[in-house]
Amino acid sequence: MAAFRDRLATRIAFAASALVLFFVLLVGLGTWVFTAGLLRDQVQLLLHGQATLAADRGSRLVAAVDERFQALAPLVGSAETLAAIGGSAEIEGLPVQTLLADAAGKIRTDAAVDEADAWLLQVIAAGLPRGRLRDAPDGPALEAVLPLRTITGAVIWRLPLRALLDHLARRSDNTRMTLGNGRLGVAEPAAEAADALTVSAPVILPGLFGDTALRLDVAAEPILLQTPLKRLTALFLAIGALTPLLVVAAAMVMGRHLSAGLTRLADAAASFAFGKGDRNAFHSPGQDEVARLGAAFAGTVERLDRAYQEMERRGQTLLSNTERVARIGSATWDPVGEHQVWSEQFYAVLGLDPAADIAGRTAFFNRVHPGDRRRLTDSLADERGHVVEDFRLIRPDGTVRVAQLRAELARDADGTPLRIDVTIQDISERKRLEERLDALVGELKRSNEELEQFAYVASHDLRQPLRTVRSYVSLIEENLDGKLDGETLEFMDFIRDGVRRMDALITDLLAYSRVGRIGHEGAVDTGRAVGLALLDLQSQIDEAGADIVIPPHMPVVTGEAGEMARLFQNLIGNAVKYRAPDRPPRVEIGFSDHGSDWEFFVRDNGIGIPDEHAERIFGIFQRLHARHEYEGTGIGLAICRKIIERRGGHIWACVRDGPGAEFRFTWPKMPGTATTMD
Amino acid sequence: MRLAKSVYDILLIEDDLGDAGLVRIALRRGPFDVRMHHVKDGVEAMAFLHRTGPGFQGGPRPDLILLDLNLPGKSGHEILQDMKADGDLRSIPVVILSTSEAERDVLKAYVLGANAFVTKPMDAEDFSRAIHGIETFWFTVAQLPALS
Repeated sequence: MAAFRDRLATRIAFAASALVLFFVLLVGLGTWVFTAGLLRDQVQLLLHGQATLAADRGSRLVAAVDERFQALAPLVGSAETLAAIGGSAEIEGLPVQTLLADAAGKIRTDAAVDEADAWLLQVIAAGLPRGRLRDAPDGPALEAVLPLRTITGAVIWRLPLRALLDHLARRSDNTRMTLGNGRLGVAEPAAEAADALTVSAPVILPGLFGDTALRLDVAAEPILLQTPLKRLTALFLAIGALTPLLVVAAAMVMGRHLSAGLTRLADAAASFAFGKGDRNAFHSPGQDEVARLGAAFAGTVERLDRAYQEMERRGQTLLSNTERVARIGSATWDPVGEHQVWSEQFYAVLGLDPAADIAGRTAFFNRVHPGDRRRLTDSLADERGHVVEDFRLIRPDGTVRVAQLRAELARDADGTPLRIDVTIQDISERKRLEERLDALVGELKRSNEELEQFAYVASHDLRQPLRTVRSYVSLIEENLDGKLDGETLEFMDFIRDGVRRMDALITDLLAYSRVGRIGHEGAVDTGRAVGLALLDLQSQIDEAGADIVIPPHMPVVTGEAGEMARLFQNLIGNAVKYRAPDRPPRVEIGFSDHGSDWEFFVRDNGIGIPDEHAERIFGIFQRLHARHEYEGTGIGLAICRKIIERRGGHIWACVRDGPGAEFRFTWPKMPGTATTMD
Repeated sequence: MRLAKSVYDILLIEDDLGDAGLVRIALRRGPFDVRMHHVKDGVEAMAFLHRTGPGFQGGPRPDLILLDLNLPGKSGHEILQDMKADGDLRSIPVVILSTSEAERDVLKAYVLGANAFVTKPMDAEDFSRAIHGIETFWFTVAQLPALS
């Protein structure tokens, strides 16, 4: 099963989630910004309306106060009148304090006397009513001053801005108002400090206050803008938080649903075993791509499975045929227990019947000859792994066969023996042939020894009488010196010549039989062998005036030094001996590299060899010329051939266009062949 | 050191009468005064050397033994082995006189204590020369101190 993050469903879920989230965030953010702007505009509109209404009402209130105060002017003539007016009054619901200022311009209240006021003194001096905004001891206030005509002083109506603001703000919900002229002002106590949205409106002051302007600021309380904004944000955040979860969950479910078919297909493929798999596992319901893929897969697998079964059947047949033809039985054995599985041929080698006999350790060892059981058991107990043992087998019909058992111990990764793989082969016939071969080899060896003995005896016993004949012929000649006629002397020569030839034949025959029986094998320098041969042939070469051509370097080969020298001596000797009477002999020796062999040649300009005799000349005692023409026993080339062929080489006489003969022979290279240095 | 003897005794162990004749002729023509005693096999040789049996009592102790290898009954090599194993006879020089040139015969003879190995030449002249060579060497050059 793939890791969670590697699953197709997970990938689909991630991709879908990422896409959906991206859009959700984009749309969410846009909506939030749009809604927040809309909300702000609404609040601003509300504030504007409120500010305008309040400012208008404020103007009207102050105008009402002014009107009343102006109306009071003609009445106010003395302090008495003033007393009738009272200390304070309420005009249009606004508390207005009535105060008196004395000649020094000091306003007296019940609590205290204000400081002298220059502006007030000027108004009193001017004698005309005026209004002003002043920072009175108990807060900013509008003051209307009416100088008294009867006495020096003034009547002052004081309208605290606080009271005006309270009045104006009475009907304002969720807003906070500020009233002032920039320098002096009052504000409604705020629930909390906030960077509230503020809208301003001028409060036009009429009459006495005509040169004074107030500004009314209306600020939205948090509940009006911040709170809804917060709620809106919280809502969006909640949606933002929930959406991914929902999207991921939905994507997971969808992904799983989409990949379920593929997963099922993969599981079916993974658990499919050829020969016994359920191909229906590949089929999916429906008509979608996965179902089609599964169907295609099932079809392929079915064909593969058929091919596999066919192959397995053929393999079994082949194995069974091979076992039958090769007469090799195979088996699997429990390393220690009784349980074994035998092939048909295994039964056949043991002479048992697969239908009737049960494979097992006991059944097997019951068929092993009692004399071989111990050895076989010991071999199999050897834990080194590979066993090859020949043993006798007693078949149920009583026949004894020789079999070869090969066994190999199989182990698991920890080295614990798992099973023994065994093959068994009936090698009775091979054994019989081996014994016959051994007998033949022994016979050949004896025969060779006898031949050697014969050669030895020949050298000794055949030459002894020859010597007697020869010696006594010369003694007779000595005794009869001067008494023999010419014909008798000629007969005596025939006897001597016969004896000499017989002796030469025996000597050569002996040499031929001794090829390969003497000397020490090793690295032989062919150049040196040629040198030795030439040394032995010196007198013949000098006598013939022969020109011998030898290459500066010649190869080193494996062989026997004496034989190699004899080989070249025979070939060069022949080349010198069979020279043409009309020209001095020229003998050329050389070689070439033929890969695994060296090829040597000895070439002359002599009388040559007729093609039809090219093979005959290598036979023992084969001669092409009468003795009186060319002396020799006819064994030299036979010896050459024996020396060469014993080493795996080959010698032949080349067919030549020109005069003379050419002998070539091959000699296998020794490992790491080098050429000699001169 | 004893002076050279005037007459030398040579024992020839040889079954071939022809070869024995050649040796006799060669010795007769040689420079030394030699008495040649001829036996045909190992049994006779031992009888002669131990002076036992009819005809051998009172025989001389040979100054040199010429021994053929190819003999009826005991071979020359076996006779050589017997002589060299015998304390009394060990000091008598033995020259192998054989038709054989085989290396194994030569080597075996020397291993068993032969003092020289001479191959019989084919020619009568050469044969005589070889015998004269043996005489000259063993009766002059290699003369051993006398035994008490």
